Amino acid sequence: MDVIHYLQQGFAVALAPSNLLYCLIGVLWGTVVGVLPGLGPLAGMALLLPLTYKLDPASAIIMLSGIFYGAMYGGSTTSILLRIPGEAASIVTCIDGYEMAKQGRAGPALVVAAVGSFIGGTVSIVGLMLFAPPLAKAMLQVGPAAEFALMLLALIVMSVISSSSTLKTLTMILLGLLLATIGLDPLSGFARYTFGSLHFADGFNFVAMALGLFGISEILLNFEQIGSLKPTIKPTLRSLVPQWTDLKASAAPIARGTVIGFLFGFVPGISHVISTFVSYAVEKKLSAHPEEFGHGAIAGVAGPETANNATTGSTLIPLLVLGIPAIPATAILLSAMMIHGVEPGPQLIAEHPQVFWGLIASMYIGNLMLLVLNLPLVGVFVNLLRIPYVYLAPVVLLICVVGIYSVTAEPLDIFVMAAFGVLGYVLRKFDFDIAPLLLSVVLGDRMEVSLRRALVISNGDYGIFLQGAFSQVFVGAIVLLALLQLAAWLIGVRKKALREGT
Amino acid sequence: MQVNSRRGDLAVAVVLLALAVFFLWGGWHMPAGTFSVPGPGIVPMILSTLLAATALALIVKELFGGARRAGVPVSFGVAPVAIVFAALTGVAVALEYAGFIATLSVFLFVMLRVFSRLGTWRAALLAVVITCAAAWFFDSLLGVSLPRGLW
Repeated sequence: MDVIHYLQQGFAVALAPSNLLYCLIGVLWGTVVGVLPGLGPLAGMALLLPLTYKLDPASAIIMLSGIFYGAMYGGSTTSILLRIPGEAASIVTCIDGYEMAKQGRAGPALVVAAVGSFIGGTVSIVGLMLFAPPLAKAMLQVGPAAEFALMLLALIVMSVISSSSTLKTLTMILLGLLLATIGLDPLSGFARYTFGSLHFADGFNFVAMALGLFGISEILLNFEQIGSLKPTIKPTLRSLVPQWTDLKASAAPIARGTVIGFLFGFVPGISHVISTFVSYAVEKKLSAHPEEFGHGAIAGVAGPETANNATTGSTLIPLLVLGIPAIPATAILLSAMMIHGVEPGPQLIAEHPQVFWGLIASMYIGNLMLLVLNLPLVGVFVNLLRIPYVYLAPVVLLICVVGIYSVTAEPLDIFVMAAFGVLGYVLRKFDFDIAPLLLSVVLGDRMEVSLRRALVISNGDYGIFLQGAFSQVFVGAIVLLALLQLAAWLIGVRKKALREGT
Repeated sequence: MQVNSRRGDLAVAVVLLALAVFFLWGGWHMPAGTFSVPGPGIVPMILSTLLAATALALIVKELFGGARRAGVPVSFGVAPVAIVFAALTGVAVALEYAGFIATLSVFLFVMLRVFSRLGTWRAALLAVVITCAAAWFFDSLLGVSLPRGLW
């Protein structure tokens, strides 16, 4: 009953005319950045961050979250019609979505993607609504030792599931943690690696780093691929109506995609991308006609698109309940919340109920807005891609400059953004995963504080990390993961030796 | 420009090793504290040691690991990267002196001239129009305080 009562209060916040407008702006801008290659949810949120400074916290978070889940919708449109994934989570949709479009079935593909996204997104919000409050209550019992173990577990999971090699990912994590030590020591106030300059007293500006690593590096990569746009397949309004067989064939993949997406949303790193690949693999495995996959199978669109959107709610759980962003985009949301004086963590729901429940209610509304608006506006979004990239990229760079400058009014941060842009470009070229680098920077400060507090409490006894149920579970999971990695490595070495022996 | 991925990995690992040594040197000069009361230097020392170890592991892997692995050529757009970096650095330096409109107009002009096929006058006009529109949108409409320059 409590949930219903709080949800009513949340809807009272979300249905205020101004918040409806901010939600609409958020989801529309999210769709636009999802459509445009090189502008994902992270850059989209960072660019609109300055707009939120004069808003109250609830309105600001509603708008920025709208960008986050709106971007998940947007990516599918260009994947299906142009075979251009607007963002990484839509790569899988390109395979069968574009094949369907080539066969004149763009309409059903778009409708199934939109409906699947709506169902996945909505169920995911229900999960967020039901799981977050009890989890927050439980997490209030967690001490610094367990908190450190949990964050360490998150980083180790990231290194295991990363698209890059484990060694490279570990290197990126360590680099991120090390960069997080720059600035004043959070416990003693001792200046570390600042060389007496006040500019870096708070470390590197996180938004500048994020925009550089993800936004600028993406633009630099895209500058290399400036070419002619593929011909756009334009679906007519009549062709948008899916046939009964399409809906029937999509129902089970949508249901499975919802479960897969929601579960993978908890995994730190690139959960929304992985969930789409897992969903695609599951659908292909379960299909009676696996040979149709890659040639326009509707299940290959329905499952991954649903999974992609079903991660949005569960991805927000670690952020809102633990204050730990699971993916880089939610790290920007974390920054935005801190700017507005809202600290994510177990206390958030109790201290800022209007923000938490307002956000939940707005996500229901936002998902509905996306479903209603996206299909009629398909043509508008696709036409955005007609703007030549050589004109679009300089304007995006200009907005990045404004976005960064407005955060701190410090021109040095523009240089930081440019430097991290080049770093991100080089690292991505050599297959180093930059998501763990950014997330480690976010977690670094808190990990250090937790570790040192735990050691102070235990008087230097490392046994504290094995005391208490939470610590034991987290440390047990870390050991298990390490053993699994070791076993996988040994099997690999043995296989290689056998191959070379024959 | 093309760089072999193996050499690239090696170069990145060497830079990371140098960075780890720098952080280790910095951490060495900070109070380390004790195990019961850790000081500000202990975490940077541990992390830089671990980073040095992983960077060394990468170097060893690239040099001796897969001797038969030739690596793949990776293309680098050196010119666009250098131009964008230099232009953004120029913006960082000039912004507070020349003001938003002058600095960003020049920045956009350079970007449009280099990356699009627009002529000089068209690029200049477009750059000024877009910058003025952005200044009006962010400064006047949204209240974001943009630098006006020394004049």
